[in-house]
Amino acid sequence: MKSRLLWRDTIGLGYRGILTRRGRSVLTAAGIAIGIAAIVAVLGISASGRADLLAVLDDLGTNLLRVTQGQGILGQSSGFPDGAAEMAGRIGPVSRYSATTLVDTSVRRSELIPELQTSGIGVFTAKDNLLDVLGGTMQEGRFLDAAADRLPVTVLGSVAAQRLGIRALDPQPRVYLGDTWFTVIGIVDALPLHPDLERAAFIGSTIAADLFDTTAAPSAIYLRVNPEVVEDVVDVLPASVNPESPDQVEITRPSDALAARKAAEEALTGLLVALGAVALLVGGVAIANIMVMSVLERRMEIGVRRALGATRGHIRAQFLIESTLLAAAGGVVGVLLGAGITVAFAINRDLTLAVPVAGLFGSIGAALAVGALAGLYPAIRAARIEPAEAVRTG
Amino acid sequence: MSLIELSKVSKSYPGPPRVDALIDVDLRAEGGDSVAVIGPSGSGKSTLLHILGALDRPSTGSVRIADRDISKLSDKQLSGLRANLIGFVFQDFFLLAGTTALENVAQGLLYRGVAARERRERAGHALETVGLAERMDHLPSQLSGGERQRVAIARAIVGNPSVVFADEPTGNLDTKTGSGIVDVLLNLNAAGTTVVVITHDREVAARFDREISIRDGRIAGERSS
Ligand SMILES: Nc1ncnc2c1ncn2[C@@H]1O[C@H](COP(=O)(O)OP(=O)(O)O)[C@@H](O)[C@H]1O
Ligand SMILES: [Mg+2]
Repeated sequence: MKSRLLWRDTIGLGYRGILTRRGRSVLTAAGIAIGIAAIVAVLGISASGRADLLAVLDDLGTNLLRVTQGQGILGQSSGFPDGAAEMAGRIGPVSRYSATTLVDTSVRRSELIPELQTSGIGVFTAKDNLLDVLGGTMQEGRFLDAAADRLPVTVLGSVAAQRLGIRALDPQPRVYLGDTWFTVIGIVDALPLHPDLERAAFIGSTIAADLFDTTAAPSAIYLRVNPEVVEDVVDVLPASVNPESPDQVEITRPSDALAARKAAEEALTGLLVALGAVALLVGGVAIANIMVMSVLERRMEIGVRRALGATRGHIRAQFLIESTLLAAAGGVVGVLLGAGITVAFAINRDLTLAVPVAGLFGSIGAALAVGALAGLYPAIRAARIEPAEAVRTG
Repeated sequence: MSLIELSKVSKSYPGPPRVDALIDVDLRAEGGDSVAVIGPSGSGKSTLLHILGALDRPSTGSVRIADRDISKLSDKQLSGLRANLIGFVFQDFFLLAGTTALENVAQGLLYRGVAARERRERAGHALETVGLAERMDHLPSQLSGGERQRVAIARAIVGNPSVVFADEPTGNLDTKTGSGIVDVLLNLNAAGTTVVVITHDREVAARFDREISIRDGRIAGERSS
């Protein structure tokens, strides 16, 4: 002679318990929903942001080195020797290289503007392969080529063009370099890793030598190297480019900045997810609270069910299922909410949408676990109620 | 073999103050009996009913229900006994609010592992038996006191128990309505179910075959016809 409650019916009881106290259920599940929404949104947004960051890293590559000449111990800046770029290019794992030399002049919109007011734009010589080595692209027009090397033409970085008020090449704009008009033949796209070159005007090295006495000694060398042996190249570079004072050679890897940003964003994501987890726990405590109250209020129901043949286990299961379902409902709403926030954010910021699948399932699992855990104590209390006490009225 | 057999049953609540709710009660109920328990408030009637119905255990003494020694059964086995053999009716009806009459009655089969469709079907029949065929989809709040108590009786009998216990089932009802409830219980008894009813009302008690008086936790006398 057994007492038997079907699984289906246990779930039905939990479901009914939630539905008959609709308003309270909504408020109780809201905490879980908010916690889950926060976690999903943070994971979704950071996954979307990171996808773009990784794409940028992929695009630009992590194998670009920038070599410059620092100052000596006494503050003297000696500069590279003339053939420094070619020397660097001869190192085995260096596949491509290019160099720029700072030109001692300024660029202005017209001769009416005083020469000192340069808007922070630097003038550099550039070879035709510079953009190729940097992984840059043109926004307008074309880059310098061999034919342009001796002509009064210039290519502007994106920020330089903006500061000079140049947006289009038609009609052909001109800028005043030193005391010569140069025709602008191209504008370079943004170069996120090279802010100094975004603020530059590029001219050919031959005309630079003619007009401004610019030497062939580079001020910055850009190298593409075999990604496997970047460190080795860094080790031998100083002696190759400046045998006389190798300790003054400074080597940077521009992609390090992006990698650092990625790490920082990951740390921030971790922190925000932890905050979401705290919200989830608070939601769990709220559920536990309400369930304990609910058990007190439902003594009569518990007594009647025991009189009808429910075992302690059946009562425990009923309340456990109820709180788990409540949390699950909160979890589902939270996931939808978080996904919505992610999509809206991605569209707004023009990010590539990435779905953090593991995060989605993980957070639903977390909601279920929190619900079950929160329901445990109330369920045990409900099961402990003595049926004979619960059905007493007098 | 009796359906229920109590010997030297005592029940005390440790308190403080300590209350001896039942003292040395000997009682037998046979299959098909109709029993009224009568006595003043606080005399131990409800306590007796809970022990008779395997809802509670005695402090001392032995209880046998359907030839099983209650003291040897686990909580799970006692629950099984209640699910299959016993029906309870309470003074305050104890229906689930916001749940239709039919669903309330169907709860009576929930812990027997009966599938939902069959539960509803049998609940419909039980409601017909108590004269509420027209009220199946009503909520408790839409029913009168007498109708609510009929729903509660239907819930107690939907699983065809051997014995139904009713703790002052007419206590909250006017005389005429209460008398209708007693009719339902006596009809049930006529069909073979053992019925044990607690009441304050001498006229109600007089309609049952046996009338047991209880006073200060002891059986004070019995009339049987
Ligand atoms: N849980 C309890 N703790 C202490 N005393 C109780 C408890 N339950 C019932 N009693 C006492 O036991 C006595 C019998 O109660 P009860 O069986 O409900 O009487 P009746 O149903 O005849 O009114 C009363 O004095 C009551 O106060
Ligand atoms: Mg009583």
